[in-house]
Amino acid sequence: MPNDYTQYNTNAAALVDAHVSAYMSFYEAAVVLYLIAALVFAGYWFFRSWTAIGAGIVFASLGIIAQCTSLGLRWHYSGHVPWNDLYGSLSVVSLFTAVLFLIFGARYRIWFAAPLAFAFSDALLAYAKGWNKGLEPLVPSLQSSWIYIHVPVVLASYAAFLIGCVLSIMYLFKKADEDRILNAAGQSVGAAVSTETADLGVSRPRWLSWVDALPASSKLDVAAYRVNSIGEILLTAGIILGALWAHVSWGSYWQWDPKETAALVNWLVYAAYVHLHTRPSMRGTVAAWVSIIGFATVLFSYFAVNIVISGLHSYK
Amino acid sequence: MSAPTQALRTRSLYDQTLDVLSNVMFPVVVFAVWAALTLIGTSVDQNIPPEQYYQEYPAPVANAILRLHLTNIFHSWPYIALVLLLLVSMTVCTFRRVIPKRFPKDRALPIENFGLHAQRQSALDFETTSHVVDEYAARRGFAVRTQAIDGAHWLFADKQKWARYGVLVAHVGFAVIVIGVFIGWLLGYRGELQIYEGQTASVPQAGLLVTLSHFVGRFQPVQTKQGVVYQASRFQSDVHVAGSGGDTNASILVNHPYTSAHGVYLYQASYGFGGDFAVLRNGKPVALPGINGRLGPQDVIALPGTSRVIEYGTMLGPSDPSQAPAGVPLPKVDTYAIWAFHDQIPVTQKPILLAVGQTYDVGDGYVLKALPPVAWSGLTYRYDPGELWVGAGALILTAGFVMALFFMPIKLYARVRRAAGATVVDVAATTTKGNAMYEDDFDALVNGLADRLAPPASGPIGETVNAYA
Ligand code: HEM
Repeated sequence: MPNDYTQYNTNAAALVDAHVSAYMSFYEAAVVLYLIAALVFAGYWFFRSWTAIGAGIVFASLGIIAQCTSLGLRWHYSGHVPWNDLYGSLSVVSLFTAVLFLIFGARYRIWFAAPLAFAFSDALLAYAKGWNKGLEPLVPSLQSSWIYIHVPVVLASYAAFLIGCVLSIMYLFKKADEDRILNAAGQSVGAAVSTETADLGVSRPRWLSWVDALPASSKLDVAAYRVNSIGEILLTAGIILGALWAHVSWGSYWQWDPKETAALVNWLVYAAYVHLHTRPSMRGTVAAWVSIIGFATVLFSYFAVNIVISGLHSYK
Repeated sequence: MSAPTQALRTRSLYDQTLDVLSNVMFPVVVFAVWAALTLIGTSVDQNIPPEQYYQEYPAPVANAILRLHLTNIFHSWPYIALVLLLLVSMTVCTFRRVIPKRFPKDRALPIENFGLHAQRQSALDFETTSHVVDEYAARRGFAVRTQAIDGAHWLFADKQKWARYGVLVAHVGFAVIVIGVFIGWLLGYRGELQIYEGQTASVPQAGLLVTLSHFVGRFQPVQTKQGVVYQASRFQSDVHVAGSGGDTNASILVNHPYTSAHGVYLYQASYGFGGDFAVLRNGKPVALPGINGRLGPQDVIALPGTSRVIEYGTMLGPSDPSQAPAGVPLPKVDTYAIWAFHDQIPVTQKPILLAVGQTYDVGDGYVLKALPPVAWSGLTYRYDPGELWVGAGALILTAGFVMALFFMPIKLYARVRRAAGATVVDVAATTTKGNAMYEDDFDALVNGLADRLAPPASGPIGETVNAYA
């Protein structure tokens, strides 16, 4: 029987285990529930209805419950934390994205960003499937209580950066739209008093009508800054916790290992971002691009370092 | 006094340098360059022999890597210089901008000039309104001061004023880490010990003697597509440590180092098994010093009086199953792979497999008997007097980041005045992070205040409705 999970990993036999199919079924439920949540949340873009937000929250919460069950079962059956491989850690990133999004949505009023945030994190979760290695013993280098704290903190920072990146992408769309309206207003003096797009006859593709549901670009910049700042705080703490772990595990805080240096790249880009944001002229478009580049480097340290670069090392 | 533009032109080179260093865009550029170099260092394999770059990359790329010295980025001087540059800029910025930055003084300012400002009518009289405004601000967590200026009631309040020290705290934390790393580099030491079971090694700088009593390696079979592989699940060195701090027995595991009374750490770093053989000539043992229980790959035993040589290859078996390739059945008993040479020519096509307990007739009266392998443990020792600095610096840095990025100092102004029979309240706020950051909260604050200044809800209208009900 062909096995879906064998795309990359070598541990095929471990995957036909009944315990593995138990946690994978909850995983699959979560993938579907987050997708539904993303679609339902998108209802807010087009109908501006709070019912869409409420229903989205329900589906997102069900997805979170399913994912927690999946991770909990994996934890239970393997006898160790479920974030010891790429599948587990990707799964935790998407769980944290969902949880953080619900918190930020309530605290910073960014529900309008939910469709993109849930679509992104669901894509990561769906992609994680190919990396499931089943139930393996924990290698000695990971047998430490630091794994409970270092890894989740770093993964939470990735979740925050994902949401920050989504807000920055939305900023760019909104800003382009505002500029279009301003241009049109500049051309027809009589329409300048009105900010209604329709009145100005601004040519905007229909599929972009959702940008009307977004707040002013300056607010999007603020929201992205807040979320990225929290990500940078978490990443700082995560790297420091990793260094302390390395201290007890390897006898050195820092080994210039690709995973460490890649984390340093992420940290530096977001350090540049928070410094840049102190300059009023650099807020907005420049900051948004740095935030997007920052998330690209997060994806680099996640995928390139785990798959390509460490792969080079392991096949030597 | 000259005009500002002229002043700028006549500033000394020293002042201009400080201006550049304390400009926020300076660290942004350094961060960007630092990130770019680190990205290259992460992607391009570091510290491998030059030939290997030509194997891994097309020739022009390999040439570029070698000529641009991208083979050891993290220890190159431009890379270290970047960190130093950042430290200098941070220091200059701290003294020129962060420390002198003051909160605005309590002064009556034109409220309409603030980016965030609002005006509300109060239904209450002047005294009550003033009281409500003061109490409202205090309840919202502001530290409140009031003054009567030109017949108006002024409120000056601030919140999270301490948060503006966040940048300072973070920068101090960064500097403390650098100091700790420097102290560790200056006064600390580290090294490796390779100890066979039953042997003793010393940490010379600390006068510690470490004896390996026993090494435990545990492995679990894992089924893979290629067959069973054995994954390590435990490495443990049981040691006896003797030194000026007294004698102790300890178990050293990965992630669980031993710490001596004087702060020397011993870490489980590596392990292995040395091959062991008894050499017999005409049935009598021959003592060959230096090799017993210590044979590693490519070690040789030259048999005296002959041109025969035994070369040790490797050991396969239950003591170290992780060495077995996937799918290769593991021998029940530890087995050595060796080569025998006569006049420098191997006597067999394939390695000779010799299980523990078995003998091999070498020739010329010599017999080799395989004895059980002897485990060795690789321990890293390390003394780092800077570690407390690094730990403290890390905490300070994180605390500073939380203060600087999560909290925001706010200064609030409110003026209550009588105007044409009514009471008018003007409110304004400034923050260190730009108005947009506080806009929503400011609106909420003003609306909350307006609610309290509105006419009492249980007024005549409510009664009227009740009367008709
Ligand atoms: C200064 C030192 C360290 C830094 C900066 C660091 C940084 C990171 C980062 C950025 C990640 C998330 C990215 C990813 O999953 O690829 C991560 C994950 C992880 N780290 Fe560390 N780390 C450090 C030390 C350690 C040490 C000493 C260990 C254990 C021996 C460790 C074990 C892990 C594990 C198990 C994961 C998640 C599993 C995975 O994604 O494969 N880290 N670390």
